[in-house]
Amino acid sequence: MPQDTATVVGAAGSSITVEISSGTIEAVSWNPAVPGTANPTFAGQVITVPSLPAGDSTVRVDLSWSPGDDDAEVRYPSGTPYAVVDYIYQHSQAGSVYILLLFGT
Amino acid sequence: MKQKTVVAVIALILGMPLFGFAAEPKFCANDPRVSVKTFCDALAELRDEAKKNPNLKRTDHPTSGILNQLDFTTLTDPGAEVLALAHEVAVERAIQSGAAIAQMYRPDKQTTAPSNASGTTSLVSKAGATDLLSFALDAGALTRTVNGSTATLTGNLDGMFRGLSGYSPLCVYPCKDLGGTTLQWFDRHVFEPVTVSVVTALAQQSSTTAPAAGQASGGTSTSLTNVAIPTGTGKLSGVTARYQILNKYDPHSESFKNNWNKAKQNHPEFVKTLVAANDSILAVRDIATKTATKLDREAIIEAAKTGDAELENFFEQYYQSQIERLKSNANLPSAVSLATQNVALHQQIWEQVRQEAAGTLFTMEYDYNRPVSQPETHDFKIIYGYAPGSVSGMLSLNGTFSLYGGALPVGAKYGRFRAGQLSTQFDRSLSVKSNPNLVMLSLSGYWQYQPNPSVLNIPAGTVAPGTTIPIPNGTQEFVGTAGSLWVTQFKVTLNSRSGINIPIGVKWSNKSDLLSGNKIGAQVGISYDLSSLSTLFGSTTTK
Repeated sequence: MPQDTATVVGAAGSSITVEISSGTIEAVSWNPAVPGTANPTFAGQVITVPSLPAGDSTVRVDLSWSPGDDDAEVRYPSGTPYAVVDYIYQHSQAGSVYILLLFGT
Repeated sequence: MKQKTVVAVIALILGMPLFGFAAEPKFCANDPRVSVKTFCDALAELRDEAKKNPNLKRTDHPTSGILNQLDFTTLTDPGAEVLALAHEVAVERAIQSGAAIAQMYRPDKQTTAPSNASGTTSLVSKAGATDLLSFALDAGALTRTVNGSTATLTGNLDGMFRGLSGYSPLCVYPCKDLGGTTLQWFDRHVFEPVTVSVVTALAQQSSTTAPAAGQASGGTSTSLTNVAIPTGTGKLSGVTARYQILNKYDPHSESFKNNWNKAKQNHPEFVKTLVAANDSILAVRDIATKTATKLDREAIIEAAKTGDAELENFFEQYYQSQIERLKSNANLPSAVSLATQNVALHQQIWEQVRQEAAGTLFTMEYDYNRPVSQPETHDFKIIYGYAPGSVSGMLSLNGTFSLYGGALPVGAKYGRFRAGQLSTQFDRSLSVKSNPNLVMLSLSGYWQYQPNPSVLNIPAGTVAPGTTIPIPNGTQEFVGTAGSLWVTQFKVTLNSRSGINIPIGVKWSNKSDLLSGNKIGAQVGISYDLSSLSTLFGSTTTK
């Protein structure tokens, strides 16, 4: 996965946070595992990657939808260059799995 | 003239779906191609971005994210891909099968005849019903003295309409709306909540009264003017209509959100089934990403800048080329099948949580019953279904009042009111190895109070019971006792993975409707939910 197709690009070793605007994050994990690197975490709607690995990596986000939820935007927290980097659609499903593509430079 | 006006107004209202008041759909929403329809959200977003920005580049945000969803080598939102692949690799039946398995696990479904039938395994009616059609055969009486066998065919109006019109009755939530806004209103308020059952007594003889043509034998000096002659075996013994009422709720209200979170906490399997479904979706994604070729991102952006049709056609071409590659992978059908079934199971847990968060499920039921040798009755029942969050099970409560139908005989010593009933049942599923709902245990109690003994019809042309005295005009007799009828039942229901349920029950009662004295009896039945056969009607899960 080259750098120009990653959803989020950052400096290797830096902390990355993204926000999922809708749905409920039930779990986040490396997919596949990245040995020796701290696992991604989430609090509410915000996902944090404590230390971005160099090169390609992917984070799996398990998301459930509550009645009345809208499709979600994946975005950097306010104040960063790009407000929205992707969308997650419900596809008439009760839950979604979203793959966040990362690239550490 | 007024009648014509009313008819015209009704016709206009019914015709509204043709004109449609629904919100403007996305340009690709009605495209018949699976590729375009399934990935329509991302395609529409890409088209919008291209319209807004003539200089759009593939690395712009959020364009790169959208392209990652359309590119089979990245597939960042693979749920849609699984849905599309299910159709491409001909596992549509697997989706329906998965949904049917989820349906099988519902403890709230009423498939058998009500408690007042001569053959039934249900002492208490449950609040839910089949989503399409169900069929049940039951033997053994609970409140009746006459032991019989019944066949019960139950159908949900919405399910049947969807099945016949090509929409899936077992759609994945939220179900696609039918047509325009008026039809949607009818669907939600009339078709969806209404279920109708027809109960046929299989061993009950039908008869009719015919004039006698004269005495043939010489053994008796009494001649009859009328005789009862048999007309067939198997008789329509009852019709049941049910209307489900779910508490209205506002998904955006704080109280609903709190209820939703509480209900989720009460179902630890909610997250487990979600993760299991996602694991299997990602297994499909792994196969796809390893087999696929890259999307030409520059070219699809150019197509998006050109127009709707150009974008749709470009993506369809790319999609078909990937499907051809994927079809060569022998592991794909089983992986897609597993994913669709796991998604269906999670949908079922999700629906349970939604119902718990939304509140109480009430069902209003009307039973028309024609018991053998007794007057017809009209029963009005209210059913309450409650799934306690902390316990895996379902509590059902019934309250009923029963009226005699037809004209009461002149000078009748009984009134229109036949009986009042209260009953309750608790259902609890037992896990057996890999099947979490193989066995369902049910314990129920039933109380009925009737101010008069039961009424027995002695038809014209027959003899009084135990005698040779002919009764030319027929009569009615009180039989049994007035007061309370108590029944308790313990039932085990075996749920097979194919959707067949086999209930086996044992009951004790202090009397039956026509006889005094304790009675112990057994009931057995078999029922099948035909929802899994919905594809026979030509419906699909994407519609």
